[in-house]
Amino acid sequence: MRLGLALIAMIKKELITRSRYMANALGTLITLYLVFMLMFLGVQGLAGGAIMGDGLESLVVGYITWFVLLISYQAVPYTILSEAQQGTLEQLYTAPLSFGALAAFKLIAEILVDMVLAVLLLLFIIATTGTSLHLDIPSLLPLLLLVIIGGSGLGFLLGGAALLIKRVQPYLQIVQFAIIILVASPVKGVWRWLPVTLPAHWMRQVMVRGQGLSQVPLPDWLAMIGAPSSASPSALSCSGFANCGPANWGSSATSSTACDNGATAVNQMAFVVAHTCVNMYWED
Amino acid sequence: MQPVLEFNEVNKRFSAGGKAVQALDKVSFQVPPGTIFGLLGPNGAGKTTTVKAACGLVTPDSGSVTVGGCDILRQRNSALDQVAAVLEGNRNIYWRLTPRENLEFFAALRGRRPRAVKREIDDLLCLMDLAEKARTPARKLSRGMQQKLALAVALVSGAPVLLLDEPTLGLDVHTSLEIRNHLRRIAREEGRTVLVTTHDMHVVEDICAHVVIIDKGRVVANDSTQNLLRLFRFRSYDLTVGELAPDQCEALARIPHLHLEENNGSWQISLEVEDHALLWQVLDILRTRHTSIEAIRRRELNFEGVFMEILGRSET
Ligand SMILES: Nc1ncnc2c1ncn2[C@@H]1O[C@H](COP(=O)(O)OP(=O)(O)O)[C@@H](O)[C@H]1O
Ligand SMILES: [Mg+2]
Repeated sequence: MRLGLALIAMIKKELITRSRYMANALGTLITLYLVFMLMFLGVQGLAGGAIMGDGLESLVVGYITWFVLLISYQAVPYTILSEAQQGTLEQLYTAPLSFGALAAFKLIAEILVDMVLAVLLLLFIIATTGTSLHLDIPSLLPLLLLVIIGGSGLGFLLGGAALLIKRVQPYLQIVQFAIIILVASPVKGVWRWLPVTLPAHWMRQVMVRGQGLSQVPLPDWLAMIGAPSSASPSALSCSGFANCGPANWGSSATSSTACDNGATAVNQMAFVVAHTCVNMYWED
Repeated sequence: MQPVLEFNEVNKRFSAGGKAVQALDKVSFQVPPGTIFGLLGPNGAGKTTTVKAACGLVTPDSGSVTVGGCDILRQRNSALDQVAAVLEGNRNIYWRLTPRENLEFFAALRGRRPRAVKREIDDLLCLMDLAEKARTPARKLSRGMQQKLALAVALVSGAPVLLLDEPTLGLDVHTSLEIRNHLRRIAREEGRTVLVTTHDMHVVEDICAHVVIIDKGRVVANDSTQNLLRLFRFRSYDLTVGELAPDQCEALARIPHLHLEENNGSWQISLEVEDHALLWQVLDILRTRHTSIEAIRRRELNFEGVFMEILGRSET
């Protein structure tokens, strides 16, 4: 009951703030749309006019999957960072709810609202490129969820690593490329076990080829659900965050505890990701 | 009466940049319900750390903190249910949300349904003179209004214990007075308990019934505000006397808490008397040579004086 109220309040707050900064959201949307159109026209130019087969459809689905992955990946540092910057993290933490629940709710609210952007982007792209995709929602939702879990797992993993090992920070730059590999890599051999690769593959199968979830073979399910992304790293690094939780966070102005260093790491990480995603978020 | 907030031998050490700071050193005190309790101390004394320990933001190294009988570590949620904090500075509220939205959000986090608190929120907005600004994002409010909103957010939690860290810091005189009046009303009419930290003696003198003074993480005084004031008002004397002989000076120098100073031909004796016998003793020493007494003044200490006095004593 109480948890439900808190979750709804988080989502409502997210919606209110986003809609109050509508210009930013629209800016993001337009930028992402333009980036896609550039890619689209470039690929068409290279292919000499027409892309063969279902190449275009795959490109659209790949782009959207990448976007969803990026959203969920950066929601983790952003969730912590934005509250820490606003100084409201401590106020949140004095609410009689567990830190885990609060963080999860914030994450859910964040991603849920971002999904609105993803859907709008998809609709724009479909409308202007004339692609036809199978929007089989019941089949897509579980796959989408797996992509989101994989992405936020990655966010936790790298965020946690950056908190613990400061030397990791410079390498976080690479993540933006790694993320594209996850979506675009083949689904053979060890690649299958990469986080998100299989769900991304099946999203293409569903949206482009019109296949359903019933066609996903058991080994794929096992790989998707058991993939390192979904379970262990996220749990593991979650604990990394929790250890360092807001308890003992000093006022950011005066203290330089490990956790504050951690916040800086997360900050840098968010910065890197934010760059990739072209001012997806706003600042006051 | 059962205390609603209790610190028991709480220790907390921070290490920053290779240097360790004992922020809290065996801090113990009890806050009875329905009072305004002051936590007074200079900068860096450990006030903020105390407040954070009382709302679960700082985990003590040892010792225990209980709110309404619930241990803040072992029964965290039950303890936090009973306490709301307005932390130092102006970031207790969401700047992008309006006052009403802030109140609704934090009420929901406390498990209170928006519909059930609507009336209460309306009343709070009125009470805090925020009704006109109910639709303005908080970041556009003045510092004083933001602080009043933060107080309203703490109130809408429904928690019986409020922790306010330097609630009047940086506010203009008028708003500071307004906030103090609200606190008085909250304690008197709503029966809530308020713990206020401050380094401003006027705030303590004005609203606190009881005060704990801390310095360098240690509790150096714990008494009713009235007692602390009375204690010092009547026990500090300045005497101006005529020429003193060497044996008199020697005798006087043996009296504890006595300060002697020559000032062109006359002598100044400052005396803090633990009991009045010492004053008689001084007078006796003066009588041995019929030293003239030019003036006796009872020094009136305000709270600031008491505070400095106590800090001075805790040094030695
Ligand atoms: N997170 C922290 N890391 C390191 N030192 C801290 C931290 N928080 C407080 N301190 C230190 O603990 C002491 C008490 O601080 P604080 O409770 O903020 O004092 P006050 O609020 O009375 O000014 C200070 O010396 C301060 O530097
Ligand atoms: Mg302080």
